[in-house]
Amino acid sequence: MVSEVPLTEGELRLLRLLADLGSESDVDRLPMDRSAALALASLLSDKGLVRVERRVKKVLRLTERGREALDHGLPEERLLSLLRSSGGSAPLRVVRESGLFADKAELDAALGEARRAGWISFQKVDGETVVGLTKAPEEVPLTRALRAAAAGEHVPEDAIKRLRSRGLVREEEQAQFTISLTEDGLRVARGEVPVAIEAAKLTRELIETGAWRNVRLKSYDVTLPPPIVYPGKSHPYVQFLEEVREILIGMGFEEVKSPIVEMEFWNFDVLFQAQDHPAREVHDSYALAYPSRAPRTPDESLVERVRRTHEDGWRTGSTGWRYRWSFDTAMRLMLRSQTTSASARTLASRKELPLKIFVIDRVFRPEALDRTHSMEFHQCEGVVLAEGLTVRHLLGYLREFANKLGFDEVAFKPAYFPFTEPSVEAYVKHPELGWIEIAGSGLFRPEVLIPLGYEYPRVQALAWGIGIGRLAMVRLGIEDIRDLHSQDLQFLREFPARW
Amino acid sequence: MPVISVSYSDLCRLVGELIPMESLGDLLARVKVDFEGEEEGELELEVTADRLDLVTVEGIARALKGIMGKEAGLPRYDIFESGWEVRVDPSVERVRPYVVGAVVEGVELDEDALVALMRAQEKLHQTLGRDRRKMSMGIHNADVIVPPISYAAEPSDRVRFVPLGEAEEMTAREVLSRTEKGREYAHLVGDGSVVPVLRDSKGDVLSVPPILNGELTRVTESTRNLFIDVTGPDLRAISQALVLITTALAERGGRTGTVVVGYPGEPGELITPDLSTSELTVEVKYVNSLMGLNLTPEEIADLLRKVRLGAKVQGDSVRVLIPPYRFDFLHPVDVVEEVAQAVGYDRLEPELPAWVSTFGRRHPIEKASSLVRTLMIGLGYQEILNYVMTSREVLFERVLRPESPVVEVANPVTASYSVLRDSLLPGVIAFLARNTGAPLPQKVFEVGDVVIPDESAETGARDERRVCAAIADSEVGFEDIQADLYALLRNLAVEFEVRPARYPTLLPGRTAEILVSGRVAGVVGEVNPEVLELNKIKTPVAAFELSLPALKIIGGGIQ
Repeated sequence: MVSEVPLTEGELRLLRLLADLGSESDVDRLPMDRSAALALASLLSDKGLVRVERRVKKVLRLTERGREALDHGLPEERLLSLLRSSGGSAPLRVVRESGLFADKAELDAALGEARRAGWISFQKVDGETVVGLTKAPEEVPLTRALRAAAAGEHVPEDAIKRLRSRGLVREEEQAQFTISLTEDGLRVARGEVPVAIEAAKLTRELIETGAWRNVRLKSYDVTLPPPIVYPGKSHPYVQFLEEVREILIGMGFEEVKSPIVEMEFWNFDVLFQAQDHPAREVHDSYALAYPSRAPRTPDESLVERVRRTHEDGWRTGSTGWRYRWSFDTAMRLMLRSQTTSASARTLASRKELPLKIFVIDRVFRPEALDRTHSMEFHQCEGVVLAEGLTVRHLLGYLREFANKLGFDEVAFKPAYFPFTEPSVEAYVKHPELGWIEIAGSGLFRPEVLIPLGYEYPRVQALAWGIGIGRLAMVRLGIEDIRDLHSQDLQFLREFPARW
Repeated sequence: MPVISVSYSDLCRLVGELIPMESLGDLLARVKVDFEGEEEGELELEVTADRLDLVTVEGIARALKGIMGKEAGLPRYDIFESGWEVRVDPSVERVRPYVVGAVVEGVELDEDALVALMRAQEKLHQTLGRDRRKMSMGIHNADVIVPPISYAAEPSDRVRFVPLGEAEEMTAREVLSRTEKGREYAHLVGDGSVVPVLRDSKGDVLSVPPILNGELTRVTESTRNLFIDVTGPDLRAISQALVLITTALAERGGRTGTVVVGYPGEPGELITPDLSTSELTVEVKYVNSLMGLNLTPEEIADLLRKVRLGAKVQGDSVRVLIPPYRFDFLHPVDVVEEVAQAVGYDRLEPELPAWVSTFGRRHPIEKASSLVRTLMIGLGYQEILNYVMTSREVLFERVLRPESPVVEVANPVTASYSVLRDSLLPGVIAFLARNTGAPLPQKVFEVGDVVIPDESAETGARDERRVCAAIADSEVGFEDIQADLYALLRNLAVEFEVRPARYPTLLPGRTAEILVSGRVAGVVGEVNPEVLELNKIKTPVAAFELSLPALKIIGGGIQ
């Protein structure tokens, strides 16, 4: 043992704490910050004053689904309470339409679990399937296990297995540390060995007074990891959209916008989509209960030109769709289902040539939210309006854009879109996923351009649209579309800013 | 877009050549059919909504033969007058007013062909027929029918027949309640007391459209002669369906016999199907100007023949003959697409127009948003992103706001996404509620649109770009969020005033409104503990929400 032991105030404090606690302690039980205690222990261990023992313990963490089940009850529990509150049984249809289940998969899981456990049975009554309670428990046993897991209490092995298989919990390894005094350490703590205090930090006071010349500045273990810091940063999807925006601005496109609550007129009619087109039906676009009708109508002469074009082609050289066009239908409000409404509005209000515009915005379609579908997603669309444009220029812009997005190989296939002709689908080659569809595109039909006041065919409009969310998923390596609007803070914090 | 299944061997037989599976996808793409996959000899294909002639395997084969160079130009169809007649009774007017029919003779129906026929019928019902509402089709063994045929509305109790697939006779009313198809389509015949019926001259029931055929006229592999009826409320749709099915059967050697359909009033006497061609003339200059090519009239005509159109060169134009099963020609531009398709997009060299020179620009709203985002990130906040669609529960109940009018959809898929947010804070609080376990402090912000009902806006609602930020920590208060808010506003060079305010979501006495030019531009405060409890948030939360337009930071500056 050397005559004088160099220690910092912190190190000495830890040694004394340990002596008070009976010469050893779990790091989490010490009345000091965990990472600070570990850093000190590591230094003391180098000096032979403490021993640090590391053990790995498995702990259960609730997944997002688990937390949801904890808040709102497991699907089967919601099923049981629904049945209880409706007198012990209910038609399957009622269960399905109760709104208690996020989607069919969740409903099926609830029915499956409850049936396997023998809590419910199915019967046919008047041709309708009825779900009835048989012998249901007061509380679903799995809920108890879930609650115990949330509270960090003991959960039996078989319950863990079931929680895990249903994606309610995940097991994480947590390191536990026990710090104990060595004999030397104990002697230092008891004051049996003289201690030379080292300065841990170089302070303003030490510098101003010049006292730094006389103190021993402790050496750090510079290989130790620091505590985790979460910087302020952008959402990866927003960052991706910003990069796409930058590419388009670089290609000379100007950004335009249109309202989310939109008239069918701008979303469909101007784009020559017939009023009985399937995309206009309730399962393909959101109609509005409130407000339901546009308080102001678009320019009357434009409305008239659009009407004529739908009905008999007007002066466009087209036969039109040959039906009675309804002004009322056109004035109905909806949630924008395609960003083309923004392009149409811009083409109607701006008459300069050439014009290159783009839109990156949300569109809305009645879909149940799941891994691959969303009721709300972003579209990215571009329009080039100029004299003398051809299909080859369309392909040129598509190739240029795809290249800038990082795809070298581009291929084109014929396609159909109601407002473009010819219409082309663009595909790009992804190193792992192979060929993926990236954009739908085409030249605006004369039935679109002429009523908007353009001299077709001298003036042509090249248009393309991208489901940019899907592309973002490919780029960001995200497989579940819901992660683009992730509700998990750690997911966002840990998502790297470069991908 | 319709997805269809076809038999690989049947397709190859109709084309007259074994097409290697490897090259099938590329060939199909050239006729605008998407090859999705193959399983046990069944191909799954997707066709586009404008090309219903491609929902039949026969139609796809017809197109492939063109692009592969095996046949060119308009297909030739053998048509004869069958002498059959359908007499329409005035009673159908209010039930299902229109009917057309055709006889097809000498068609070879083996198992593949029969399956293909049923699939074609089903697919046409779904697409053109909008699930039989607009059009439904019955296919019968013609040999057991004695024409003329009558089409009349009759009381459903008095229509007795053995329905297809059943063993015993029943009334049409029983068909509606007891058979699967009856229950599925009963809603198409009103209250079901009267149904449209097709009978032959013996009085035998052929069909009760759009529900079910009779067992009597069942089509089997030994059937060689067919009678096809198509009924519905839309004469154009049913005529198209009849053309599609008869021209498909013609590809299997079926000869089409026309039927005389006699109406008591309009449209009088029809001879169906109408297999005449229509015409369009396109200028060569127009085709080349859209394609960016220099094709000669002869080259264009040859290309059009490859996609099974008729084409005759007339000076500087090409006269195009369009087969009866193509309904997608509204304008000469539709001919240009056919040329493009025949050339193949992969054979067109992409290029950029040198004369189109423009300057790119970010939208002013996005410019302001980007500035705000940069500052919030600099202040240490993690950006989050919520949906614009939400529920009344999240927007009002869970944050104790009194209900106010918000944009609401008429056809929500679930109540969770049925209204549009008119404020960002409720969604940010819901986000924090889902992350109570994540390490503290939690500093998050969102920049996004809210939608506010507004009678003075053109569409009755206006989008407003906002920023909302919140801190959750074991100890956090008004002064913490206020410091960040002031830092943001100072750096945006916004002059503002502050006054105490009351918002139900926020704690009274610790809530302030931000005013810019005397108008409320936002709110800042500590979240009401009652709201925290409702959302099971265990730490204090302080937050602010600002409207970007109200801050007057949109537009101006270097754009």
